[in-house]
Amino acid sequence: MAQTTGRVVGAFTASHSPGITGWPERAEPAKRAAVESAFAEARSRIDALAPDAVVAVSVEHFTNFHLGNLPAFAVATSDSYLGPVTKEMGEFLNVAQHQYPGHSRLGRHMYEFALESDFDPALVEGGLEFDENFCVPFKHLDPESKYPLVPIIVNGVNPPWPTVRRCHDFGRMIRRAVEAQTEAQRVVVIGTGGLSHWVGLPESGQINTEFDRDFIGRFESGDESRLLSYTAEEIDAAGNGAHEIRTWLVAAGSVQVPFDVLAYEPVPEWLTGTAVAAARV
Amino acid sequence: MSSKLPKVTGRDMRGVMAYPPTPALPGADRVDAENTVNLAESERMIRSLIRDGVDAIATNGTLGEMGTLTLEEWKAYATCVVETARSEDPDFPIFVGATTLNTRDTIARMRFLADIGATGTLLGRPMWGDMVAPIMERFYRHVAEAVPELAIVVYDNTAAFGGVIPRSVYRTLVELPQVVAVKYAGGASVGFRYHNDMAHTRTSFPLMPIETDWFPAWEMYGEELVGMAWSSTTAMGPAPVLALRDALREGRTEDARWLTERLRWAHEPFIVGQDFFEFAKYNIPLEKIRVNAAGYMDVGKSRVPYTEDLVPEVHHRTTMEHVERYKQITAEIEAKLGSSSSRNAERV
Repeated sequence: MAQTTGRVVGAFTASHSPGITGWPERAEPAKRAAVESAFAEARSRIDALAPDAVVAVSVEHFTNFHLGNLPAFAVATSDSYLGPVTKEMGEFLNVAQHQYPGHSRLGRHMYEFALESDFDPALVEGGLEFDENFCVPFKHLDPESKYPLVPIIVNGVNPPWPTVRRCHDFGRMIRRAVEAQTEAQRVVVIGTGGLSHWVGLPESGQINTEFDRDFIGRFESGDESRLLSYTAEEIDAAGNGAHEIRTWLVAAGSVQVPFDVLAYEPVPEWLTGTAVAAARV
Repeated sequence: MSSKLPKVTGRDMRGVMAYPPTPALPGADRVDAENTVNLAESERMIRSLIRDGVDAIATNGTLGEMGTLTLEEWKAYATCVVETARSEDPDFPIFVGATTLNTRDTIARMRFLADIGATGTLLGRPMWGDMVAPIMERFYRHVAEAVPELAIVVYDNTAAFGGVIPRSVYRTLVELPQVVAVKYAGGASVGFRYHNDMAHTRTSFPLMPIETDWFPAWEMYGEELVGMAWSSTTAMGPAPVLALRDALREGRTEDARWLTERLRWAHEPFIVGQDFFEFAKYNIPLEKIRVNAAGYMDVGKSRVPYTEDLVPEVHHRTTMEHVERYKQITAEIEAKLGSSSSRNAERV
């Protein structure tokens, strides 16, 4: 029997600040409960989708790349990934250090398909290690690390950043890549980063709820013209960490449907506007 | 093994560590220049910084021209700054750079520094070969064990040394009692890795931020973790930076927030905050341009091959704008907060 080609069966997005797992108790109990409940709901939906692989889109926090070599996009193709990168970071994030499985064949295909689609991501064949970028959301979304990952890095931390439209296009490319292979039949895309937050700046701890709620509104509407109209300067108003919403744009591009925001809570104790969302696939 | 240990520990490191350039005599930018260090100005510079209230001094990083001094010039300068500091205060923490291209040369220089009474060394790492984590760990372990009485401020400069310090190396550094601080690379983007690096070092020694990042770091982690900041801007006159220190120590949060905003505003035109790797090309001459223009000290020209004539004009212009802003905020801060006893500018 001929194998059918793969499909993106779901897409999810979430914030990933260290406090979500490292010091959850510092948040107001109601906010913590809302966020953790949303994560649980997303986890349940992912499990119900029974994915063969997860394309995990996050940002780099200078664990693997640095300012002298910071790709706009990178695709990793390993069989496994260490995270958190050290035991000490594991204690800090309250995530036990372990190996996350990788879907190397889908990763390799994704990279080659990207090149054929006029994207030129960096190829990371080994050595990519995780910090809170993946470890924090996946503690909630896949606590047993049972789904093999294709990690994708988007520069959302240091200018110049890829445009939001380019990120969305990258997501659309991901869907076409999934549909052009048979190794992984059922694929879930998870984008993680943002929302408003300032990192290493005097504004740290502030939340721009106006920006966050406006962004959520655009995300829920599925209106691409509104979602893709952001300039870098407009995102800057929500902090240098807000540029991580590019990961959400990649996830949105992979499904091109409205999302349901399962929770949004401004949590100064976690230094981040914290949200979890699921695509209406 | 020697039982000798440094006179200071990481827990002792508090306040502002000044990073001044190496003063140069006229003609120091010539290829055939010899004995280029302006020792008289070096002595005046060290006395001024100490009397005006900085808490420690480190020389001979990148802007301190570790890479462009001859060995004899370096020895003369090191001797001058250490003897001057000792004459001001026998316990003043004075760190002199000893970064070279290999372990053995660095050890030789560290022994020289120990012999002349330096508190410690500001130490980058050999950069000719790609220094992956195991090599870096062994380098710092070797030099610490070879000269155990000398404290080490680890110098983190992503441009000069080709990347960040891997987190596995921080695990080694906390095991070495000689390591008392890390001069952490500046820039807001480092905030993304700061907390994870600090998870390794905790209270063993401070990961010193640049003064413009100090307030948010202090707010988040407190004096126990980030009690010391580094500042090359102090070479333009330390008063604004010391005002920030005093506000932090005294819990005057709104003053500290305002001072940080003013310092950041003053730095806005300076290329380092906009494009660190572009800055890194002209780091040495740009620092000298701004320091000379500020008028607090006379550090002369930078030495070959990193001379001022190759700096693009736009960087000259924006650096001067930065200097003007710094002069403006110095006056604003004086008018608003006055001079604390620790900031009386007793010029030498």
